[in-house]
Amino acid sequence: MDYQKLAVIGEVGSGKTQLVQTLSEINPFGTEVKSTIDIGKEYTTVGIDYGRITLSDDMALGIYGVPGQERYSFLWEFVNRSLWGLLILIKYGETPDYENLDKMLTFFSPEKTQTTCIVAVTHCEDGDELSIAALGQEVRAMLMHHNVVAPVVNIDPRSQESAKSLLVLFNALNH
Amino acid sequence: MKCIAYISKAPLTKSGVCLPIGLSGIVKASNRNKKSDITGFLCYRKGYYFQVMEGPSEEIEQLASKILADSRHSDPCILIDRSISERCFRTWKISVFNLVDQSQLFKKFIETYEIDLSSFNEQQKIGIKKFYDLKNISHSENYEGKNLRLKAWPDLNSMSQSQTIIDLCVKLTKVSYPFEQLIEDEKFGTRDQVIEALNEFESLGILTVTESEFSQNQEIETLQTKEPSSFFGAIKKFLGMG
Repeated sequence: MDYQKLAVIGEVGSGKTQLVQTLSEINPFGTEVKSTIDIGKEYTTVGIDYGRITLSDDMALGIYGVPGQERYSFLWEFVNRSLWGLLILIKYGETPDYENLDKMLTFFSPEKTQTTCIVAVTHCEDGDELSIAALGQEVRAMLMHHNVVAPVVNIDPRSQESAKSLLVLFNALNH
Repeated sequence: MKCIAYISKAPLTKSGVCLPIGLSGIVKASNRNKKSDITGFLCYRKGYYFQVMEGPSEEIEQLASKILADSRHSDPCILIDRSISERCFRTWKISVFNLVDQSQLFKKFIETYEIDLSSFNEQQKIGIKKFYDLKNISHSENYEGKNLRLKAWPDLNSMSQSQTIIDLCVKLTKVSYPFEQLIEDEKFGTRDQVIEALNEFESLGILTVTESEFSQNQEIETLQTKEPSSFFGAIKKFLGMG
């Protein structure tokens, strides 16, 4: 069985659960619970979102949505083996927690493990062009600090087309 | 009418990384300039901001005092603070955020305020040097016989996101690639289109141009003869591309 893993990691509300749902052929196994504090949405994921794409009888891509906060780094350990791709989701509209992104990039070290990495900015459908570009530059500065050569793209996790465009890019980068 | 230009330091994160944190916030605030009569630009490079503001004296002074007191940057060094008879910049541009950018806007600033630059004190000279050294970088007119590689992805918000550009980035971020082979591949467009894209990469400071060497060619041959993995083909099939 050729089974590969795509890790989707990002802060609360960045769209991990939605993206896994959009890409997965199975009803994703999620760990969403009702939030007890105001985080801007009713439910939040406290574990891993798991989805899957069957490519053939003996080939599949597992999609793992993992929380980006450092306190969940035990889950990072769980997914950080032989990754087909590492997707970092950044939510537009809020200043990202760069200290945390720094830790995340240090942990996954995509440049050392030669893991293909893409950063996708979400929630930017109604954002103004300049602010989106500015956020992209903040993120690019952090990537350069970690010597990570990765594209920063804008996506809509609800859209099949947008979600699949990520797979196209991962596949091209892995080729 | 007045012009104020300054250089300031971007903040350090707790872990000591120098990042333009809050740049998107600054941009949001700066969007107000569009409504007023203030023009100019803001850019960032290697831990430093550079901003030029032109407009009615009173508005410029008010904005400058507000900006200089902003905690999202520090150690401001005023480069220009004087009356002007006409603007150099017609619009408010904040799209020049490239980390290593040989910006046309910056060049225009240098040309327009050349006299001011010549009378800079030591501190101002040190400040402008963080950006001014880019002046010495010139486009390679000729890529023949050269190997090309991208050190980083371009900002896809400011550059065409066409599949051709993305394919070219994918190719050039992986390995040094000879210019001639890019042209032969044909999948990256016509010769002129490839050169145009390469010029743009170079102006962003992300293209490395080196002399072709045998060892690098060997690396490319290895890549080209590598059989595509079955997983690659299966994903393509899933995506309806194969």
